[in-house]
Amino acid sequence: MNTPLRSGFINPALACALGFLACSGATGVGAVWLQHQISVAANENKALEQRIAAVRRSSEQLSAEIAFESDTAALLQRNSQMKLGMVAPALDQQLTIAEDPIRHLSAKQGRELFRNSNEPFTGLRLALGH
Amino acid sequence: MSKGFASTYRIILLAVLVFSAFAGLGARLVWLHVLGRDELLSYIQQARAEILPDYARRGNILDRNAALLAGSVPLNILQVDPSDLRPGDEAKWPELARLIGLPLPALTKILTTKYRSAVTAPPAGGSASRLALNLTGEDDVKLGDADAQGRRLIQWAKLSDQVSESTNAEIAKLNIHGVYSTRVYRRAYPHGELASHLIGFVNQEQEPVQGLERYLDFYLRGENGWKESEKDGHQRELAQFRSRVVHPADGYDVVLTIDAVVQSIAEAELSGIAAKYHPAKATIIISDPRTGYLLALANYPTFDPNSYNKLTKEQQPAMQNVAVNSMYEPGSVFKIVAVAGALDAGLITPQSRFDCTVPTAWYKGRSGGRSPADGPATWKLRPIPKEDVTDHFDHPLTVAEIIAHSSNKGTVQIGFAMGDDLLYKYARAFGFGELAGFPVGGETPGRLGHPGTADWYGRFTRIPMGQSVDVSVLQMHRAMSVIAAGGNLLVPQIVREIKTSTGETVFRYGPAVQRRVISAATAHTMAGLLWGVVNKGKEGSAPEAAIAGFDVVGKTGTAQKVRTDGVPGYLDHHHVISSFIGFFPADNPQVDISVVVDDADSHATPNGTAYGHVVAAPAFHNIALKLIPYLDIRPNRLEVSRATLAFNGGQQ
Repeated sequence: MNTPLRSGFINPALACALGFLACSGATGVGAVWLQHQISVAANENKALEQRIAAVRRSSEQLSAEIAFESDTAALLQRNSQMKLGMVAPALDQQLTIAEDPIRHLSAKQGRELFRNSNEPFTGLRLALGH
Repeated sequence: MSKGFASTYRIILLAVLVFSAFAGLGARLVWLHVLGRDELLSYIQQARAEILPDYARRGNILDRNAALLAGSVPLNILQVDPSDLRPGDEAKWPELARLIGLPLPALTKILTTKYRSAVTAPPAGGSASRLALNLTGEDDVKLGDADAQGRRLIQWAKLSDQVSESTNAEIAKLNIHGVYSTRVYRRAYPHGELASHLIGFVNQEQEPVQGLERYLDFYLRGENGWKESEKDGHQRELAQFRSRVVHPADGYDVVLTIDAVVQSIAEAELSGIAAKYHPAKATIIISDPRTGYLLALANYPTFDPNSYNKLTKEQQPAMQNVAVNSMYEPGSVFKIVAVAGALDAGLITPQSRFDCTVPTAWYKGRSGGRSPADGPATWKLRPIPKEDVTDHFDHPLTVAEIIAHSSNKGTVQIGFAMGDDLLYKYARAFGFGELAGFPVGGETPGRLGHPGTADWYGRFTRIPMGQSVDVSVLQMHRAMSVIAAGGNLLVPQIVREIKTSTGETVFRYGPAVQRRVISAATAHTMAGLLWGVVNKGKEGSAPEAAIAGFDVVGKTGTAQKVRTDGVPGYLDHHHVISSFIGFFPADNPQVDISVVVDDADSHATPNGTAYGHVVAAPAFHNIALKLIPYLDIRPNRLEVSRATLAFNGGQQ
């Protein structure tokens, strides 16, 4: 004897129960996974913060070391130790000019160049490039 | 399954058990979440919750070119818990000793000393080794309670407090159990003594003690942040449970008007003066008279803020900023006040003449230099040979000659021509007898006196020539700057900018005129008169300050020191305060330099007296020569030099 009505009643209930369990389980697993991901992200952030802080500390320490090394007394001592012989120019070795020194020196060099030449200046011949 | 096994009795028993189990769980949950909630929560909070401080970084102090003058350096304090060491790590100790620069025997002794007696005398004298300090200093070791034998367990001992980040990383790689480090910021002054009287310092607790560190602490300090979080059983933070994060606000950076190079030039010159003349103290101030910005302020003696705590009691006066907190009688350099005031009031002109050979000058029944109550009303000036020579003039001196020769008699007569009220008014206008508003160093207003007071006339007869008036070096420097700045008294500036750590400007201090003292025309005339002091050869009192190609303006001062032993009067001419204050170029002043040397060794001078033109003017000259190329100061007179000829290819 077939019992289609009873089977039809139980199977959907079982299916709903299983579905409910599956959904609950998935939700639970999802929540745990989410918590884990939050934890992972938080730890990664923390690690990044620590790395940034470490780089910053290193940078600050380097800046301080550069400042210590660029102290005038330290530079003078290094000049002496390494026998570099660097001294400040005396006043009579300095010349203050109003014009651009590069242009002035170029012009002077040009004048000297033509003065030292024995051949008379006959003009310029320009060749146009192809 | 047989029916006998699944009997009703058994089913009921199983149901009761299951129900009891659930009921028990329910009861426990109610207990945990309702009845014992507060107690358990407080326990959990104590065990797991933590507040992690996030320390703000103290701002930097920079010079005007962003050179670091004071900064916070990250360092690590390396500590050890001797009870927590493992025998297997002993092989790493030599490497650890090498990294922290400690002899291995000393390190071994620290690492193997687990107890210390309850009463231990501190190490005696300076011969105490680093080891001894580590084991007995209160800051270098933390002790537990005494046990039954009177011993105290060493909870931790400091190995080093100067471990850099890179060294700390190498130590961490050694992975020695029981050795750990704590990160801290320590204040460092990379240039040592440079501008130490301005910068000041912070103490071991990082609290500001003096100088700009203290004055600008509000900006430099910053605000600490914190994190509310939880930790696990290994005391590690569980970052996912952070409930609140307040980021620290780093302190602002402060940019000074000081130039580290100019400051070092001034301090090098002071060192030279100290080596040659062994003065009690000396000061050099360099400023830009157009803005009032100080480029350098240097004092001798000085100190290194990195090791302020190593100064002995006798050395501690070196920490005083004598440029602003010490008073002295300026002597002849103060004559600029009387002459400028009289010129500005229209009482004299540069061509006005005064008989500087007169024995006595009278003002309201009193003679110059002393009152009738002091004795015969005769003119009596200091027996300085220079004054004796210049006292015999064949003609009444013009005001220009009075300034050039620095004639006391002439200046006093100019002061008398002004009258005491007007002289007082101009002296106050020049900034004497009041605070300049300088923020560090404990500024003194000086002592000028006041018309109407009992001793005023006795003072007034001496004030024109710079006696009976007490000033600070900074005040005298400002007074000369009035002439350089076209008659305006400028506020002396030491701070130029306040910036965030990311470089954004929070506040900028611009030039500030306090008041107009004399007219621009009078200032120009005064500059012309003071030009004669330097540039008229032997007719001037300070040709030593002259610089080829530049019109240097200035005034010397040589003031006998007042006795401090209770006897009224002055010390002999071997104890003087020598000064030279001037600026250049005359037509476009770019630097104002003051050199004041207190009690230079007169035996180191050619004439046996440390005149201003002998001690201070050459220092002015030396400083100016170094500043000309550095600050790109252009000469106002073209003179043909070898350099000119070379530059122009042999042509003038």
